[in-house]
Amino acid sequence: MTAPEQQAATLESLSGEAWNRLAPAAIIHFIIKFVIGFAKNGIQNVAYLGGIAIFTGDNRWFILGAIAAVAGAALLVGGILSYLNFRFRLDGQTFLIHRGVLNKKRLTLSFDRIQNVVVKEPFYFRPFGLVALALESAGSSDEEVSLAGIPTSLAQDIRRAVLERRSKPAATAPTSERSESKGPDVAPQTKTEDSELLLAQPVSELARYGLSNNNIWVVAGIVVGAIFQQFDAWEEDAEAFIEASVIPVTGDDSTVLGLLFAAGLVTVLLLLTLFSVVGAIIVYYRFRLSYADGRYHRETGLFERLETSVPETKVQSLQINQPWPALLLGRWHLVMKQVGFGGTNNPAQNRKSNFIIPSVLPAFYQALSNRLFGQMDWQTMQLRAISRFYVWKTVFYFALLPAMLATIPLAANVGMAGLAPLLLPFLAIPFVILRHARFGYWSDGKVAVVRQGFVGTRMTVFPFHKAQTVSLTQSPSQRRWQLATLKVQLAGQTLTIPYMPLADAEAWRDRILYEVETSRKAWM
Amino acid sequence: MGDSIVTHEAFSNAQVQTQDIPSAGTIAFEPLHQRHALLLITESLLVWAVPSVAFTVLLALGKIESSFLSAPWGFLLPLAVLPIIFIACLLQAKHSGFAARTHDIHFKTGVIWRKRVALPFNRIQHIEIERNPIERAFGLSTLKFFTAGGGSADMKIPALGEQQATDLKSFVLKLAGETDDRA
Repeated sequence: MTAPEQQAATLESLSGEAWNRLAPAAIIHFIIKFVIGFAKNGIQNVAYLGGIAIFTGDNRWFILGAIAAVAGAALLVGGILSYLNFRFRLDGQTFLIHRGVLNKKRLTLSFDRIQNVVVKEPFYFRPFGLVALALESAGSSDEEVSLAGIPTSLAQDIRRAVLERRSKPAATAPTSERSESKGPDVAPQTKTEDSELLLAQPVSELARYGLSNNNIWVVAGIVVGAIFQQFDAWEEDAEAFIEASVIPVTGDDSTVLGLLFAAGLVTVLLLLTLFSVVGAIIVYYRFRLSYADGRYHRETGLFERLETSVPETKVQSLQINQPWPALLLGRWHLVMKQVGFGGTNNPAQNRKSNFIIPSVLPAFYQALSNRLFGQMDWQTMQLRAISRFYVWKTVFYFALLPAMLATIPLAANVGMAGLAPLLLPFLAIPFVILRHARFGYWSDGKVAVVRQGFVGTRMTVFPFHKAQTVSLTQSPSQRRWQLATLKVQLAGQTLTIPYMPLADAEAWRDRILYEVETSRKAWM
Repeated sequence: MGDSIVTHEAFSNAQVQTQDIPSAGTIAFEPLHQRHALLLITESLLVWAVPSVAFTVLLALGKIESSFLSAPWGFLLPLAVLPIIFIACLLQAKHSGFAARTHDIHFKTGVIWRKRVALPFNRIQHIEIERNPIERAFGLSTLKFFTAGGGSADMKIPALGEQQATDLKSFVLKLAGETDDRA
């Protein structure tokens, strides 16, 4: 504590007794982080500013200006204080970090708990030759360490030191056929020259990803929801606008107005698609996937080059997604799933543990799966279907039963029209049949494939030995028909196969337990 | 928690015949503690007491207007649920059980939807013994097993005697340590 502080320059200076500081340019980083944090958590606060602008009359610009000035000053002071209070050093194989202005935090992070090393190069650091190094641990995001504002060379040194520590066991792991060609004694220092390029995505593929990932539909849903929430407020204005500006031009023929409305919708969809494509290109620009020393490395980004890596032993499963738009384009999007303790209540953590590989063809995902989990016979693979009972039971419990419950009070109040909900089960049947048809499972006793979906599909490939728990549930009718619902819990995700023949479910459970208990392979 | 591989002098990888894989379908489950049913009944009665008391008070104050409930037997209505509680708890206790093998532990629960969870020892991250006030009153414990699978406990074995819980915990931890190859 009493040792003098210095600016971090080399690995040696980190390991000394003295505490290190980030480069002063880190102040920019802290300010930007505050702004982003504010925008994320309190975008609705901006509404108050709008309120001020509307209700304060002539002084509004003065008041808004004053607010802006105070906010700017606060940001600057906050940034400087954050910078002054951020100190770090290396104690053997452990990072010690002190940070925080009001809430002081002391973090210790040992090398072997580091899951991921990410080197980010934000545009505002480029002129200074600095980078941000994020050390991600398996724990909560609170424990995450980001050294934003250290020289590139130091970041590379730290990364190498951490990877060296991590890659030693990986090199001796009986992982796949590649260890033979490489030999276990590859020096970690030479890894950058040694890395094997697996995939480089051209812009056209990224555009395909933008067209076919599901994000635009999520955004579209949010937008539509927001519009409908405000609909009452806007209805009069919209009607007035249509009467005053549209009808004089087009006439009040309802066909013309309908077409106009449809054209508007199509325009909005095209715009959303365009955003999605541009977004995908920005985020995944010059996508490169390479493999070196037991790790997969991914480089992406137009404005901010992001380098992520994941040790192959930490990959819990490979998700092969084909959302319905991708069905049309004949592409698949992959996600390497890592250990994620976040669960559903921590989406940020989940996103972090996602390692997306956009827009690939079966030849690529089959080869990748083979190198991750061992050779599989993709050519002859026939996924088995789940029982037909899934359709009837799902329709009964999730459509017929609620429909009947809704019908009773409705019919009592509004007569025959109240019987309308009884149509629901019939409408639901085709969708449930679709979903039933998408379910499929396959295993060779070592590696398994589980498929699910609706129109698009999600195939999950995972090795049995990485399972955490297995559970088997049977309802009375499943007992009668010798069926069971199997749940396989992996680190970070749960796979469910409903209405599986009991014999298969038991065979999977027994095999999984056997593989987990006899396997000498590392699972995380 | 490193992913290093222990030196495996005797590593073999002979092919396994599917019929040689031990089946978990036929294991005999041990019942939980005798007082399990009593514990479940107490917990259910405490939960049921809240709406019952509210209902009785409202009825006594005349806030519930119904010719159907006006007779004095309206006060007995909450009691009609008691047999269901008793039967459900007894069945629930009867259908719960656990079994430990040399490499994994199993737990079964559920009367209508019967569930069997299997947890291999070498996936256990940590184990907790939990005793809530009612459990303490009955001298029972809940044993919770955590894996890397999710945030909450992946397997909970309720209603173990206090000594039994401690013994099972140390037994499992010992075996988990032996089978843990992740140096």
